[in-house]
Amino acid sequence: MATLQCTTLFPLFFQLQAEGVDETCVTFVLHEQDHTLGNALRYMIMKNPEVVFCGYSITHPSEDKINLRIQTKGVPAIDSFRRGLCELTTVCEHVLATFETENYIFSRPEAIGILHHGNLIGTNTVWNQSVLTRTCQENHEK
Amino acid sequence: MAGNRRVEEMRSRVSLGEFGVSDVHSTNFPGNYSGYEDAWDQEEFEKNFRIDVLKMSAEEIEFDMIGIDAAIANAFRRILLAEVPTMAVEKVFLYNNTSIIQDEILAHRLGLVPFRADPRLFEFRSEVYTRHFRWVPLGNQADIYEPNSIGPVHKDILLAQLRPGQEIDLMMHCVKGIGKDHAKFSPVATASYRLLPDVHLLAPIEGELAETLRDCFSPGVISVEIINGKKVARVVNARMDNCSREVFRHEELKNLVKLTRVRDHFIFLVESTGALSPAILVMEAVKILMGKCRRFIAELDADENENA
Repeated sequence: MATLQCTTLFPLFFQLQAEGVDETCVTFVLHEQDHTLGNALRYMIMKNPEVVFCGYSITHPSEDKINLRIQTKGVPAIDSFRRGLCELTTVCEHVLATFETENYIFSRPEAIGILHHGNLIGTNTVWNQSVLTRTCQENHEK
Repeated sequence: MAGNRRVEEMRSRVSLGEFGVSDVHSTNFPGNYSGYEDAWDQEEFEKNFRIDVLKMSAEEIEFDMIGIDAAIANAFRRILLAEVPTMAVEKVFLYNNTSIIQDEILAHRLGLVPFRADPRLFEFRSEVYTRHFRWVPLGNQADIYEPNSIGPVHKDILLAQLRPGQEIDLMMHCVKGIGKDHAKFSPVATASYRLLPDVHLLAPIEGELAETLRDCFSPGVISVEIINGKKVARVVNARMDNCSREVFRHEELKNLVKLTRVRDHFIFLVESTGALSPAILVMEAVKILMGKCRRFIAELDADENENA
C-alpha cells in the first residue's frame, strides 16, 4: 500500500498518511493557506461529533502551507474534511445573506440618519418581527 | 446552582481578571461538557446569528456580528486586510525627475496612493493590460476614458515638493493585487473587531464609591443616579467600555464588579481607503472565504471522480 497519496493537481493539497492505511487518521497538507482558512476550518471540523482530534499548524513561516490533522472515531477522515468545508461554506452563505439584508434595511429611507443602538441585547425577539416594526421601534426608542 | 452558572460563564464569556484574562478560547466542542449538545447545528446557528449595522458611511462601517465563533470572525478580518483585491500603482516609467525625491522613493509613494477603481471589473495581472485612464496629477489633466470616474481617491495627497527648475515626468501602470502581496493593495485603512464588554455590579454601590466607580470606566458606561437621596451607580451602556480594568486598582471596588466579554459578539469596524464601499468589502471578504472552501471541495470531487 502506498504510504503517500497525492492528488494530481499538486498546488492545492495532498494527504500524508502513516504506514498501515487507516483512513481515520490523516494529515492534509494545504498549500497557499494560512490561519485564515486553517483556524476557521479547524473550528468547523471540531464541531463534528465524530472527530476525536483536529488541529492545524504552520510548519514554517517561510513556507506557504499548513498541516491539518484529523483523527476520527471511525468515519474516514477525508469525509469529515469535506463535511467541514461544506459546513463552512454554508455558514459563509448565511453570513453573506444576513449582511446583505441588513445592509439593504439600513439604507432604506425609513432608517433616516444614523441609528445608534444604546444597549444592544443579543435576543432575537426584535429581529423576528417585520422589518418596518423594527425600524419604527428604534426610532421610538431614540 | 453555582456550578451551572460558572459553566455557563466559561462557555459564553471571556473573564477579565485583575492580573490576567481567562476563558479566552472557545471550548464548546462536542464531548467537552456533559449535558451539552455542542455538535454543529446549522439551524441553531441561523436562529442565533445576527448582524446589526450601526453606522455606515462611504468610508466606514460599524456593525455587530453576533452568534459566531472567533475563528470565523477572525478569518473575515484577515481576508479584509490581506486578500480583498484592489488596484494600485505597480510600475512607474520615469521620463524625467529632477526633484530631490529619489526615483524609488517617489515610486513607492505613488504605489501607496489609493485608487477609485472597482477591482471587480479588472482581471489579475496575467491578463492583458487595460490602459483606460491617465493619472490626474493634482487636478491638471482630464481623464480620457470617463471623466472623473477612475482616478485616485483623494485629489490632495502631496507626493513630492519641487523647486524652480525641477521637473517630474512619468507614466504609471496600475495593477490588481491583494494585500498579502504588498500592503499597498489592502482595501481597508484597517479592519478590526472587539468583543462586547459586559459589566456586572455584584453588590449595590453607593455614595462616593459610586463616583469612583464611574470614573474607573469610560464615560457613559456607569451612571450615578440619586435614589432616595443617595447616589447609586448603575451600568448604563457596557458597550462603550474600553476594558482598561482600572477598577482592579481600587481595593474597595475590586470585588464588587465582574468584568467579562461576550465571546460570540463581535463589534467590527471596517474603514475603507475609498476604492470600494466598506459594506461591499465585507461581502467580498465573505465570498472569498466561500471561494476557498469551494476550491477544496471541487478538488475533492475531482479526486473522487478519478479514483472511482
